[in-house]
Amino acid sequence: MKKLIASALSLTLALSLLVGCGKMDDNGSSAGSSSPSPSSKSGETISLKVWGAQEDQEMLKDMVEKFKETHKDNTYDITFGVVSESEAKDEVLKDVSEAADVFALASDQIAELQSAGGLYRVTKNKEEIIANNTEASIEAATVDGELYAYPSSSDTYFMFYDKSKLSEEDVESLDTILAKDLGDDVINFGFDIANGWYQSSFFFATGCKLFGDHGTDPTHCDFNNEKGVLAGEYMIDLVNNKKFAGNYKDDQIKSGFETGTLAAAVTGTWNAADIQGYLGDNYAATKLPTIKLSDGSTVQMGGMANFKLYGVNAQTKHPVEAMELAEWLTNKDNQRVRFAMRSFAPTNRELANDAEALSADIAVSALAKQAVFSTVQTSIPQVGNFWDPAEAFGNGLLDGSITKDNLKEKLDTFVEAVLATLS
Amino acid sequence: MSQIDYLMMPWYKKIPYRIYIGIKGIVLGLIAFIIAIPKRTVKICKTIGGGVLSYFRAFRYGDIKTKLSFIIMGASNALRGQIIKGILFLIGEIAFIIYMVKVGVSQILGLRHLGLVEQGWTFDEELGIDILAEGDNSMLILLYGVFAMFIVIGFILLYISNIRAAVTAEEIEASGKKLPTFAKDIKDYFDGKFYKTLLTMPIIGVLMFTIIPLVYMILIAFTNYDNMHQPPGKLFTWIGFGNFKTMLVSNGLISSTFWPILGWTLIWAVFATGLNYILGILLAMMINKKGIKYKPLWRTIFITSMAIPQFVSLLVMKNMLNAEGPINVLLKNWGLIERSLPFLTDGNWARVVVIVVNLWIGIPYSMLITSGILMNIPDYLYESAKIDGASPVRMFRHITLPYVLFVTTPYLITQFIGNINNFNVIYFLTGGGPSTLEYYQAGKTDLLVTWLYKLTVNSKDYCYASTIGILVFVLSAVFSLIAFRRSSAYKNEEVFQ
Amino acid sequence: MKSMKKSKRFNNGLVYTILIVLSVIWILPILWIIMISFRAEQGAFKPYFFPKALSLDNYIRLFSDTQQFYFFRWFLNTLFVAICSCIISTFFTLSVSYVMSRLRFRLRKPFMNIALILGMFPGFMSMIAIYYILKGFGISQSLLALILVYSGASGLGFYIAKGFFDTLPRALDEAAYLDGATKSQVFWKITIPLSKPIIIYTVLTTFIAPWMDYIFASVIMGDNYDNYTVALGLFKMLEREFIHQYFTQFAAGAVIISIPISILFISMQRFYVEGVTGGSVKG
Repeated sequence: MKKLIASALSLTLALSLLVGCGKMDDNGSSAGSSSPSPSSKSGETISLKVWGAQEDQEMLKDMVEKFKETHKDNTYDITFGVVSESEAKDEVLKDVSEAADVFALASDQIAELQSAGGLYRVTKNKEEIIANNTEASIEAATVDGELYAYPSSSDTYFMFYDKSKLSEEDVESLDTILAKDLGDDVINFGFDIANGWYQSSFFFATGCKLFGDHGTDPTHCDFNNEKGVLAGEYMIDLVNNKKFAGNYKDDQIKSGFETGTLAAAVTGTWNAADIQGYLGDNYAATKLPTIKLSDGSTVQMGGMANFKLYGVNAQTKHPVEAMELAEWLTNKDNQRVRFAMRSFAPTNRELANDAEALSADIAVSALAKQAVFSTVQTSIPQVGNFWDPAEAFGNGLLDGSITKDNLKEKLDTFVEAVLATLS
Repeated sequence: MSQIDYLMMPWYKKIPYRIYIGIKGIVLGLIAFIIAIPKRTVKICKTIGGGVLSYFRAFRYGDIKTKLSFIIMGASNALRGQIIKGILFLIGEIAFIIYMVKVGVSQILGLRHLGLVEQGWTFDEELGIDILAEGDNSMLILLYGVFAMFIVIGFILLYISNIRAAVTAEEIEASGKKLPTFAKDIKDYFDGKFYKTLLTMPIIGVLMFTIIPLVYMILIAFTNYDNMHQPPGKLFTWIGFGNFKTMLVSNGLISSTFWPILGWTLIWAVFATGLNYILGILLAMMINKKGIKYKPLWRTIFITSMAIPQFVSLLVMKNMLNAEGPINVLLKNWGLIERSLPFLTDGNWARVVVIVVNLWIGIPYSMLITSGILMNIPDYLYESAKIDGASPVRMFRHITLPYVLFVTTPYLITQFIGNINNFNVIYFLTGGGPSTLEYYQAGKTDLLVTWLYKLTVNSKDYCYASTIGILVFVLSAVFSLIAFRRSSAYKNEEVFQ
Repeated sequence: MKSMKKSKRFNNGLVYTILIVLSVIWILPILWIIMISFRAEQGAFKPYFFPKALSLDNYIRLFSDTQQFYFFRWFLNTLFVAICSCIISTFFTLSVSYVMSRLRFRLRKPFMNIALILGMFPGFMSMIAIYYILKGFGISQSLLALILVYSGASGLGFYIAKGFFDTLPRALDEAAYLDGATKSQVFWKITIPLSKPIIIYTVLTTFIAPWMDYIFASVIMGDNYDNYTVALGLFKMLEREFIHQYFTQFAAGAVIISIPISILFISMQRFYVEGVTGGSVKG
């Protein structure tokens, strides 16, 4: 009975497994025995794989070519894969052993990637890397006091505006921007208030802290103290202002500038080229405006700074060479290339402090101005609990279900949800 | 209670009575099922025991060749002339032994702890960098352990068939007949045992792509494989029923998310199935009504929406319903509204919207399926009802609906279960949103399945995800069990009344 | 009599009105996406409904522009995967359903129950495990892997086809057996030629699956951009960074993949109904 099924089954299974077994004990049950074989003998062919976003592929290829030219002692076989910074965590952790040796990642993924064993600890030329890059960017690449990635560019949001509609004095304060009469069909200020990344700029403005002073304390969030209430009250007034659009995401912002129905909006460098194209000579960008709170004080809007980093795969076969490559991709020259080609703000100290060079790019210099007021986006896993409640709070503001009467109560639930633990 | 009594009842008594009958049916169904469990277990045990006993007997009374094949598989066949068959058995045995010695044993033993050594860093003087000391990967240990278990089961089946073949060969020899040649064996697989030939490949496919992954995922529910224990960086291990406790009875965030989502999943499944069904029948009736022209045209219009890939039509709907989307734009341009309607951003709106959009997708299906059945309803039923002065509503309730229901009950049940697991509509339309302060990693329109998906993809809480998966399974299983039992019980009831 | 006729005409008028309104609701999203696919202005959300200018640009760019999206390549990938997986699935489904319907053996009932139970687990729960199994075979990130994923477990979906086989008269089989035919010959020479509707139904439903699936394709393909499928590409076009530039191209892509599937579907709907209702009713 069942001869054919049973025999065919176990045969195919057994054979396929016998074939596949060699691979399996590499990363499977054989503990500790197979440490990587770090090789740096010259003359050997080193195979490395690099991941970056599709739009960066050409640029990466150029950088890698130059890397090969300057590192003649080894023969390199470098291949490329398309995985953008935002997808890095998911792709790497799906199968670390198959992931690229060097990959671009967004700084908010670093803690989880490190804890799940996806990132190689950076110890080669560590002092130099720390000395060369801005403090905030190094902080974003560090987990538990150890460096795990190479900073490549900084990323935060700031304000774009239409010079024909708003003057340089106008954009200093959000209240002046909104007070200006630009006609019925023009939105004066576009903002995505239901996205925690942007929304937090109001809370940070009043001095609230997400996860404590260093953003690493998962039991602390004070968005519901009296400062948080001030921020919340301001936001409630804001969404009731007809000149303010609280649900403007990238697409609406671009459309708004394109059709001339938007005067100012908050977004980042990734939209700079498009917006410049729409506004032409009227294109301008600067830091976020100040806001006037109900207690009479005027405060500067904060922001959440994110960084683009390059990481080395923890299971790479060639850690030394992979580190060299990652360091190369994020060195001063290549950061300059990124700045010139993609308007990415450098993290290299020399470049970041070179106000003259930066001023060539309106968006990047605006980013640099805003960066001073920004908080480094925390990467502790608890931050995963922040986005959904923030979105819910933003939606509550937009649909009018959050009022000044129940604000305190809603903020309490907000904070409770952010700090909640699973069981 | 007789039919007359029931019909005489005022409507407000009828409703509780129906509910009472319904609950009674569910309870009775459950009781019947539970009562059946020990009986079945005994039966299965008896079968297995009988099998084992018969092999003992075969060993005791068999000749030396048969006895030998208990150790060297295929010996009985090979020594009696069925050389190829014997060798095939032997190859199977050798492959299995090699496999077990090489990796199998350690893979199965790995299941005990799921890994003990966590990965770490050691400083390498020569290279001047920290070097990764690889640790155990709990996930792969579990997966390979499951694999190894299946290989062992496969081998046991092979072993059993070996003994059976040995005994059969001995019996045939004893009776003085000629043993079938290998060619004849093969031939038999295209006739008497044709079902085995046809089933082999599909079953291997199902094993590989459904059963093994499923067993692996079910086992995950009994570990602590969550965001904080992700391999290869961290180890996870067995924690028994802890996740079920957290999910169902703790007061934590995850259980206060589970129950409301379960509630919404059921509401959604009832509405999505029921409305689609009823409205589909009505649409089919309208198209099939006498005197309505261009029937194929009407049908084609509605069917077109079925042919468009669901993710396309859903993403289109999502964009149309956006706060800045064309529907809001049109309404604003016509001056009907000032502010955008919060189709997908307000919890209650969004819940209604997903049900309505699902109508757009689902009505054509039930229209298509029921229209054929409608045409088969004999005309004289309607004629006589008309003569009795029945209203159209009455005719629908007492003729059309029962008739269609009778034919399509299985379809309706699969639809309901399909809707409990309806991933596409929710994921593409709202992505589970809008977010709410009350839930963990879920929004107001999330069903259990989409929540499960988010838990695996966004927060990597695999253990909770697979706990939900198991609970969803229990839900579907209990429901279909009751539904099938009820529908057969229903027929019996008719007889008695 | 006259009043009855009148009310009948009124009734029909009412039905026509409802049908027209419903048709508009059903057709509108389709027309909208077609209209968007010809819109010259970029961007997803416009403060106006009708495009200001129309052009064929979106279609041309969809196939010629390979900077960000290799739509043409992905289209061919999907077509290849769809054809292969529908052949395998059809074979698997027909085999299993024929066995369950016509052949009798000891484990038939348990097999059918197990299949029913397996169908109740949410499928994508196990996708990570499937990824590692495919990797064990050394074929992760390939189109072959995708074909196996879409067709491998298709043996479970035999219920509808079994219903169809149940309606075929057994007398034919019996007659053939009397003439000395083997079961294999009966399957290939008698049953299969009679099963056109259910074959078409199975082919149709399995052919469509690869065009619709986004989740398995994304897990299996990972960074292998060359082997993406259309659904994956279209879904990517709607991501935050691309939606503004690519929304109109998304619309064009959606229209393009919908056309062949719609034509197939509409011309084959008769078989679809027969498939679902087990051939007991004619649509």
